[in-house]
Amino acid sequence: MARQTKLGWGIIGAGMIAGHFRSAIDACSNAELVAVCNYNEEKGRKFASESGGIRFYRHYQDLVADPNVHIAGICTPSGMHADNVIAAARAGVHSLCEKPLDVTREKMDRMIGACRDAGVKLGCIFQSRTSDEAIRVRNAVRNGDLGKLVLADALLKNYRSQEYYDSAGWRGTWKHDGGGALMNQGVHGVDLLLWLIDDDVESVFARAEHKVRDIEVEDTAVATIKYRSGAFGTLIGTTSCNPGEATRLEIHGDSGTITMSGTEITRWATTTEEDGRAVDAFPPRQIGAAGNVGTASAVAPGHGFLVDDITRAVLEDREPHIPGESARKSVDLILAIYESARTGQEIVMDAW
Amino acid sequence: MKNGKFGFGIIGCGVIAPTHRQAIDACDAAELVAVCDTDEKQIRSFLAGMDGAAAEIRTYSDYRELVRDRNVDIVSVCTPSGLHREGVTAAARAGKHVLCEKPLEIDAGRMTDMTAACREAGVKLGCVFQSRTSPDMMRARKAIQDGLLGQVILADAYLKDYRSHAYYRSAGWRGTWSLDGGGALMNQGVHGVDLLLWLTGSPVESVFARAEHKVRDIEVEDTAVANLKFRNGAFGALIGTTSCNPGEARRIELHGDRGTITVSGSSISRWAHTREEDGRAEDTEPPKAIEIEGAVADPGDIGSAGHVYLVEDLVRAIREDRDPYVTGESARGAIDLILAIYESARTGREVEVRHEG
Repeated sequence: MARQTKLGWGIIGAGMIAGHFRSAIDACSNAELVAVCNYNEEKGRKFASESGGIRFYRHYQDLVADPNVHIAGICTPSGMHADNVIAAARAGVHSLCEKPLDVTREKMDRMIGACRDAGVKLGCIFQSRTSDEAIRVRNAVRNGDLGKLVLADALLKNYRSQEYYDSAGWRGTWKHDGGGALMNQGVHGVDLLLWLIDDDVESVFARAEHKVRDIEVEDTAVATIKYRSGAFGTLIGTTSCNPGEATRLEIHGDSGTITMSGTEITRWATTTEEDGRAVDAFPPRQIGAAGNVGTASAVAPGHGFLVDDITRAVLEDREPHIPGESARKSVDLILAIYESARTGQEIVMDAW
Repeated sequence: MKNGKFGFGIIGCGVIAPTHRQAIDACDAAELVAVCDTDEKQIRSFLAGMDGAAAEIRTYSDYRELVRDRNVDIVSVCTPSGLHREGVTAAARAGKHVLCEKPLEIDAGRMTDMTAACREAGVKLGCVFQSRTSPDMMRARKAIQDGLLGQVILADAYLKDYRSHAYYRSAGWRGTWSLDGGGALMNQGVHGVDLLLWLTGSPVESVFARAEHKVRDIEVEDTAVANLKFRNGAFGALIGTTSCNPGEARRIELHGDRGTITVSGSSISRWAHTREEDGRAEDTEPPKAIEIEGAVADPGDIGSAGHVYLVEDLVRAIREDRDPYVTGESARGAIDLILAIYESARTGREVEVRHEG
């Protein structure tokens, strides 16, 4: 593809998150928004006219068939992601899909398979993975700065009122949200922890219930994890802790500790001495983050990063920053947590 | 009883014995009259720290003789954890009250023996969990009992410590099942486990856990994670380790639908609540003073403050013929939970926590 050519983007689902995609696409020098699709025509046409008169489609099958659309931005409810991505793949269109990838294993299998078969890219939005801080932490863990990994915990303690759940009928339902405190609010933290430690879950035992909210899905879950590396972990996800706490990720090894609160690094302590005590230090100033992409300041930084990244991934024929196989890990774990909570049994990921 | 003072005898002159001595000295109604250790060197070094007063102290190499000493009214049991039963039951049978170091014991049957022996003999059995004596912790417990948090939904304890290889190599009994009875949880974490249960005010119904020695060459666990279900319906996570480098302050986090109280060390680090139905909790200062019925005076900020409180309390409990502040039945809760955690880790199954006492 010629240097001056821009890749055409189509957005499926003109809801709240579509605006982030639009600004990110506008900010990306290799991308151009050419079409939008929305089931509600009025809302979709409004978005199209606000976007400089781009084409409007009522059906996503028509949008992905538009020859000017090279990449689809998937902004529909979680449970529709696979259908959208598969249609795009069959039309030879790449996808950048909002989190979570989808909400069942079978659908994630199919969407990843469809993209592989069609030779198109599948990227997912987990904007937490795009911050300099997160990339720095991941590099340090992979570099062995913490020594042998002992514990990796995510404390995802949020608050949502009953009013929040009552405000939209689809909130807190299995069908549309696919889960509650973990699948919805917690999925970013789960994804980020797994990505930072670059480890996979071997097995999990969990409890999940809706304790104080009148919803189908869980408002509180606690999971006890064993990672493949041998490290242990605890995952706490709730939307009923009043008033809620900042997201915390705590990673501990026998020679160091890194903790994050929100997007900030709150502790960075390491030692290189055998059997020595780790010493607190400021995080290293700037470690060259492989694949780091600059973003315009007016754009939601995560979306800016990931729209730019997948556009380049298509142009350079490389994997996007967050490929489908990597994005599904958090959803697979959350589904295993639900299964464990339902059955009261430990779930071994390989045998499940 | 001499000069109107309760005579204390200490069994086990190891690392914690001087703290008991200081606490006894600080209590007007108590006096140290005897000590016992199988190792004469330990006794000598213990007495060496006492200046002139040491001459008055009788010394024993056999605890069964110490408990028979007529001047001993209360026995402080400061032996290794796995030897507590012997000291406590011997004291009870000799009609002596007991102040037992934590953990009460390391086995459920032995703890039952101890509480039964004291009950049958009509003597008091108090246990040392000094964290419960901090005014902040008393405030937190009272507020939770009074429903400040609404329905409690999560109760977590993060007990992330660090002990080096050198620490475990420094004494042969460290990290052994027979004398320590466990590792990161039974030893370093037991105060935090006790505090979690005491603050929540509900026993744990069932637990799934993993426990292993991950990086230290010891018999017992250096890292454990447990998934708790409390009887009041709350969930909880318990993390205990001695292999997190460099280690973190102990944190306990209690959350309800109406509020949150968090503890760092032995201080309150967050206190937020709302009275409004479906309202957002707001951070506030914890109340300065809550009248705690039967509480003894705030012992102030000294290293042995908790021990002073508990020595004073036990003396008063004897005088007033009431239960001590930390009863044996209450102190065993943390141990019963830790033992259930070990059983779950061994079997790979969820375990119902037995509650005896």
